[in-house]
Amino acid sequence: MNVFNRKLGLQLNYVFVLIFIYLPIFLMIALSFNESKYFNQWTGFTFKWYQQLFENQNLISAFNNSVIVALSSTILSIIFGFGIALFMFRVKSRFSKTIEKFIYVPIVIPDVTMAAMMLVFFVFLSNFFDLKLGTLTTIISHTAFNISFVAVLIGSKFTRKLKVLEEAASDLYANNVQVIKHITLPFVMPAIYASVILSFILSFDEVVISMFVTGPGSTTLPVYVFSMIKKGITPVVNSISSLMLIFSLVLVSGVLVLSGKDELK
Amino acid sequence: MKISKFNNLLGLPGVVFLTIFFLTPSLFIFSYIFGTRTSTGKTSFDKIYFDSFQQILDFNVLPIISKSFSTAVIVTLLCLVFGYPFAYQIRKFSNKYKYFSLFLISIPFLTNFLARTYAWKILVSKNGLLTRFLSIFTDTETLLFTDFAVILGMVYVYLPFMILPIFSSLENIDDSLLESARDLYANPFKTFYYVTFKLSLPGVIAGIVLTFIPSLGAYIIPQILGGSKAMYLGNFTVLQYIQASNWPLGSLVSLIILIFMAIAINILFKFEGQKNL
Repeated sequence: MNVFNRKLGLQLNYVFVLIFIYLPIFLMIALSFNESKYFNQWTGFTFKWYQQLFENQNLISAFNNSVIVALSSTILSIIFGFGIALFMFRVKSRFSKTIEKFIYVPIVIPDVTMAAMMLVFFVFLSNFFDLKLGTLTTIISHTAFNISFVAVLIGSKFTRKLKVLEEAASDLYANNVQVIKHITLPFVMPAIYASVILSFILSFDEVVISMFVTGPGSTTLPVYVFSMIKKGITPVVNSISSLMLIFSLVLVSGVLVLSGKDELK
Repeated sequence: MKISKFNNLLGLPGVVFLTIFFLTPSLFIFSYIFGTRTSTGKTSFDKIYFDSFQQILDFNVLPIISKSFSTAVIVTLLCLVFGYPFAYQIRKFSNKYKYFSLFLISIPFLTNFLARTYAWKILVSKNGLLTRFLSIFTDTETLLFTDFAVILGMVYVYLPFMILPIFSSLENIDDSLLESARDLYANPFKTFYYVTFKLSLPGVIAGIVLTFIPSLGAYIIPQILGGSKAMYLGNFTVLQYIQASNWPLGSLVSLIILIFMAIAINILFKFEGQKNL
């Protein structure tokens, strides 16, 4: 194969992959504005499917549940995850080494397996406590996987440079709280902002675990949309899917801009 | 002394939380393997049962395992075939195009997974764009609810998981290595194989693990694109928990998925270890 063909092949593959990834998304968003009920004919531009979304009470209460769950699990996982990241950075013991390995398990575990084990555990607990499957169990489950993402993301910003700065502050008689407040926190702040957005998205978009551990009345938005999708292709599903996609797109761009800024430093 | 005590306390709340709400539940699921389903759907533990192992044979789980496994292998290979050249092309771009391409490929990495699977469903359903395109060559009416649709859907969703780690290992290759290979009269193919490809192996392995594990345990994609009759490991597990109330069998199948995952991660860490040498 000569050089020209190889270059052309690479460029064709590049264009093909981008079309493969973006064509379905643009098509779906375009269809959500299609006047016709059928997706194979374009009869005109309309907002009426979006209007129908805001009239659907079930959808709105599912959205509210999702926001409550995502916010709560984000706050909890930032507190726990930051603590674990700082612990792994400062303490080098056999225990912290074990944590360093174990922390990846909730990230890579298949969602079906995690969903099953949370369900089994909560059902067992309900024998002893007044615990029903609902918003609380969903918040706990989401926190259980978000902690790891936060700890790993913040942990990646704990570098030698920070260690030197912390030691310098300690040498100047700053106490523990002062070191964290004036040195550590400002240093890793971009990573904390990024983790806030990331754990919010991960919780807000999560389907399988929520499906297992939510009870009646506490259904989250993706679980509700999933049940709509299984029924078929309708303009309303087009519009809610487009909205969810655009919502996470805006948040993701936020993460990318934040981490990009950080790289430039 | 005081500082080290404080540092140890920092990790404590999170570690306690994960011990109660992650480690303990994972032990619970193992114990369920040795229970049995009673007629009411509750699981009984009055003695140690091995029913779930017997049911693996009775309920024809082995074909499901082999189907999930072969699907995951095909998906991983397709992602590699299209993902590697893509990552290679981004690496060659000037900075401006490089970061823009990275941005384009990172977006699907994190945007709503359910919506993207649904978007793909529109393409492969009856009268969908892809179906109509393919009907020029064959006489297919709909691609929906076929294995073909499931495989394409998985490639669609997991491709960025392959591209990003390969790109980051390609990016770390020093250009001077490629130049010296050329100076020593290595032809482009040899340069690529002995320098570029070998140095990008850690990224390739990471990409393979990151696409293989989710494809093996996938539930949403087979459910939306394969229909309710398509049986993959993920669907089968959910079925045992939600509809059949056969928690011991569901737990055993989850364990099988976990074992595959552990093997894949061990391979990954082995390669990582070699790289550091």
